[in-house]
Amino acid sequence: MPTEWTVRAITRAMLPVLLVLTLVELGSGLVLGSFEAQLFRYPSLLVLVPVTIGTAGNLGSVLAARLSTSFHLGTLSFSPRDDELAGNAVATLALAVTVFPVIGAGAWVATLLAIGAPLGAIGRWLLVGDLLAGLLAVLASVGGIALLVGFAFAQEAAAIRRFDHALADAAEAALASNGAGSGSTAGADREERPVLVVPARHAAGVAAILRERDVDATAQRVEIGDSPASVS
Amino acid sequence: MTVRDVAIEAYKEALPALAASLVGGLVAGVVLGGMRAELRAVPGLLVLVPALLATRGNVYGSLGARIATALHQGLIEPRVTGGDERLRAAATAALANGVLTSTFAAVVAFFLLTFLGSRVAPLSILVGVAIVAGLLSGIVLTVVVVSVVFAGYRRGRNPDTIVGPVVTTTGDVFGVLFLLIAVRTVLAVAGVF
Repeated sequence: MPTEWTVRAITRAMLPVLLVLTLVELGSGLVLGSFEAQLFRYPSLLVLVPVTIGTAGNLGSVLAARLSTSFHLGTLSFSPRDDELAGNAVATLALAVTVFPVIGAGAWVATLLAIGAPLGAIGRWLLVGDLLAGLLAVLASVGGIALLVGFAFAQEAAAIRRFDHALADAAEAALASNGAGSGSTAGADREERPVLVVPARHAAGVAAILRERDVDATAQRVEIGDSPASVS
Repeated sequence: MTVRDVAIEAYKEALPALAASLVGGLVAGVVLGGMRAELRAVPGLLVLVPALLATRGNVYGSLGARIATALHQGLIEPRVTGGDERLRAAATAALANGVLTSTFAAVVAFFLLTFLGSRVAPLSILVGVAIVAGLLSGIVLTVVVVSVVFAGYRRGRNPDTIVGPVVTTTGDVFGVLFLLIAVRTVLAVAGVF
């Protein structure tokens, strides 16, 4: 549902999400605060903070944006063997492997040039440590996004099932009224059966529900341009 | 398309934007590394840093996305006339959301740290820093996001692909820069009284 372009409507749509996200971010802030002493002692670690958080977030949002676009276009299926899904996951990991060592090296150089602080042994571990931290963050976000996409598919499937039931109810009602009618026209050589035309993605589900209810139903594909006579 | 094709395409598409925001993030990091004195003077500020930086990205990223979509739909013209009601409402709402969320973060951080028994600066200092930083970076980010998206759109670029990198890069840099300015201002004002 599109938000109206008023200050009140936009704020009402955005603020609750922002406040919840803030609570999550404060959790990561508390983790950061717990090793405050080390951060102050080795400024190059402090230099890493915004860029590591930012890059992990960017990688996650690039993946999420690409997946949600493919999802809307209908080119994505939620299977580990899906090319689109696997390709994007591989690309995200490859980007992480490329970018995080560069960040480590960049922070090292930046600290040396801008702050002139002694690096010590910590500098040598920055590259390795940041690569590991980055990979963990990316793995976690890939997993989180996979869960979200799975949730979206489950929601979609539930909506389709609900609509299937509504269609099955309609078909059953039509059959019942038709049955009452056919009683009065007993002796007709041809039994009339109600036909319910549904979108393809509902057909199998509706037929299954009707069979469960002991209604003699079959799903049949009708192509555009078929003449009514060709549908037996 | 095979897995390989998809992966190569996604990699090539994302790398330039990532590289740009990497540079911005490093600049922000250098500023953060240089404000150790301020971080020590205001205990609890470090806990706020991720929340404040993320708020900039969330609020102004959504402002950028909203403007990009409106441009695609023809709801707004790519011109800053100051008279466009929709643009004004979106900018005002973003600013209000940014300041409110920053203030909320400061208040929650204060009570959280007090509850945990950690050393924490007075509530007025933390809230003051959050409001000043939120307001200053909000004004600058609104101007940057609107003008970059409009300029890109007029040159025929897809605003959707510009918004992300612009917001993450400028959001990090200005977020930390105005945090530094806000801390110094608030400490100076607090020193006077």
